[in-house]
Amino acid sequence: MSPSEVPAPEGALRSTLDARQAVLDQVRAMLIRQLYLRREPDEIDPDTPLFGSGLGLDSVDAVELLVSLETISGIRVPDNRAAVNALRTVNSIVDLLLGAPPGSKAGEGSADPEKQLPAVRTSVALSEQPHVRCLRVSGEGAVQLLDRVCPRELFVRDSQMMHTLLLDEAGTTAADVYVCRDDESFILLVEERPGFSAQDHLRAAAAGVAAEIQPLDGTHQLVSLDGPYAWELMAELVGPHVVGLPYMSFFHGEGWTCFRAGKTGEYGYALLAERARAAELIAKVKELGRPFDLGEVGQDVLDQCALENGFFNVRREGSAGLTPLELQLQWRVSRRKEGFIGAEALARRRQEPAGRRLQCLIAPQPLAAGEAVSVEGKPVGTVLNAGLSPSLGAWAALAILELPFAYPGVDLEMGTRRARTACLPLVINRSLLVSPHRDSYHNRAARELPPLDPRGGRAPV
Amino acid sequence: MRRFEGARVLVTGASRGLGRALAVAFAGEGAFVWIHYQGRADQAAVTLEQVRGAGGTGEVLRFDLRHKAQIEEGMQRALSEHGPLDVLVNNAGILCDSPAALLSSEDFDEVLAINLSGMFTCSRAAARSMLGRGKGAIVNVASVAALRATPGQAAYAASKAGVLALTRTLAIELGPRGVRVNAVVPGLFDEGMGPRLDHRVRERMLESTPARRPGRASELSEAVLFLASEQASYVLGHALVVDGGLSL
Repeated sequence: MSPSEVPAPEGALRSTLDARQAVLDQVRAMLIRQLYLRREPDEIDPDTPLFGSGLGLDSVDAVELLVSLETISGIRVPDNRAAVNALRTVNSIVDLLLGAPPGSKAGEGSADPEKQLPAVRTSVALSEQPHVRCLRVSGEGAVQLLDRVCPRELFVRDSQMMHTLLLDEAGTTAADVYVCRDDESFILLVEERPGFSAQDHLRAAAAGVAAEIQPLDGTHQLVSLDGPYAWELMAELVGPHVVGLPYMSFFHGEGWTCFRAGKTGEYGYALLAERARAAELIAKVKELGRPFDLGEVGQDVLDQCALENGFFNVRREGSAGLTPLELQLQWRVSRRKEGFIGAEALARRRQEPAGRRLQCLIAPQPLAAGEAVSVEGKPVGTVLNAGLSPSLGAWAALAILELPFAYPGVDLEMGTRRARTACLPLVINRSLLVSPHRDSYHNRAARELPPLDPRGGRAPV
Repeated sequence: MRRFEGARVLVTGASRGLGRALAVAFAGEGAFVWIHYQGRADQAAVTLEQVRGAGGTGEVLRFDLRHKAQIEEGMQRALSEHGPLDVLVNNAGILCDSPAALLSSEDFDEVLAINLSGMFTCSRAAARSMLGRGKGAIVNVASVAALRATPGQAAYAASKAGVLALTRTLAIELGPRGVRVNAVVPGLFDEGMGPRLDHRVRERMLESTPARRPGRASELSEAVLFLASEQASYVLGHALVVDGGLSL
């Protein structure tokens, strides 16, 4: 679609979206000024997470941010319980400033339909991760090689992880990668888009570089434990110190390595075990997991959780030939870095007029990847990833939309069916409210947690 | 001769961590140990097994330290079944870290409720029984957080400072009637909350600890057993700091 053919919002919708863009600009400026972010405003995508990953803010930043919000807008977020939901992404701050939509406050609404929720949302879920490629990159040229393929600066200390991407020459996303610095070498945990091989990609990039790329898949097995009480089961499995393991870091045990990561919005741990030890370790997890009502879930369940939380899925929306600019993944790339694979294409793409942006939506009826979506009869985009969300009792989806429509709160049509764009994340994760120093799965009845669905089960449209 | 042969001891928060180590240490000295827990029945059962393994006897006891009626009922049981209580170790506690400017009143109140009010209610019940017999010892587990400020620990530090003040007051009130009340002030330990702290916080604490290592559970047990024993018969209202020098 050429720029002249791009439909534009009209009437009331246009004023609403213009107002939202103005507040978004204000929030971006405030974040840069207040938190000294070395980023241009348009590098801060609206769905960028604020804490943990994304902008990587900490609790001291949260205080600064809330004081600034109160100063500029008079809006008061009373405490940590309210803040965990109000300060999740840039867009959630915009929502806050615009006056949160009804039912978005934690604690309102009806109880969750517990029976339908997967263990990953209520207790702990175990899943095998055979699709994740595990590679060790070592040798004198390891840093040089990774610097060539990573679109952000390789600032990662020993025992820490960095979340980034692998891009192809066209600048489109080819793999979702954790780069883990393990003393002098690196462990890469890679999810690839179909047809892409991270190992081949690295081999090709390693020409003339003294780096060894060793696949670990044959010798190791990767499983993950995710859920609001995953920390408690992990503490029994590997010892209480795992509870204090900071997000995006890892440590070695006897025959296994434990990574604190996850893409579900809940406490998440990946265990990379030597094949000889894996069966024993998994059996122990299952045994220890019984009192935790451990669920065994497939990747489809984890993918659905990732969708509800806005975690990038390279096997779905990541396979659509889009760059990090459209996918709202600019926090995983650096504008200042040059010379990595895909850098030139990305730089060219930045010179073009802004085109499309990934946007989350919710619908009461089924949605499917590949479906066209319209606004008042005008086509504005395509669904890339969709699934029934048990947490919401509705369909959640990600669609690539023409930029003028890529905001929360826009009514969309797919034929006779309706959907509405929404602000990520779609759920209030219990992991935000469960504290390892206070709570226990075995004492969960003592803690009243708000429903996962911030809309309290109300119809999305 | 074992130091607590035939004595009845209640340790709160004994299903795991330092509480478990304390329960087992008392058992090793011949005590009957009430193993209090709040949520982890399975873990309390493990403690009981270890208590028996150490040559002692015991029983598990569940009550929620946030609910006064439950505490009263639980303490009543501990004070009557198997004979009156000789030692109460108020060990149970929770953490809820957040910058004070963001800390919710509910979280603050909950930390105070369990760490301080719950301790008070347990102590009051035990004190009445001990006063009647003219003997008994109460040992409260405070924390170095009461002496040394750590960002994010407003509620925890306030609760533990309260524990020290409560200890002194109880000591002065109960001392004349033969009931001794003291406190231990642990620093960073390899059991309980220590290992569960964010590794970055833990590293910083270790750097400030002259002993250059976390304490071992047995090193805290020794201090608690001393304060609860006849060897400490002239020690009242004391806060015994067991922190490898962290608070210096």
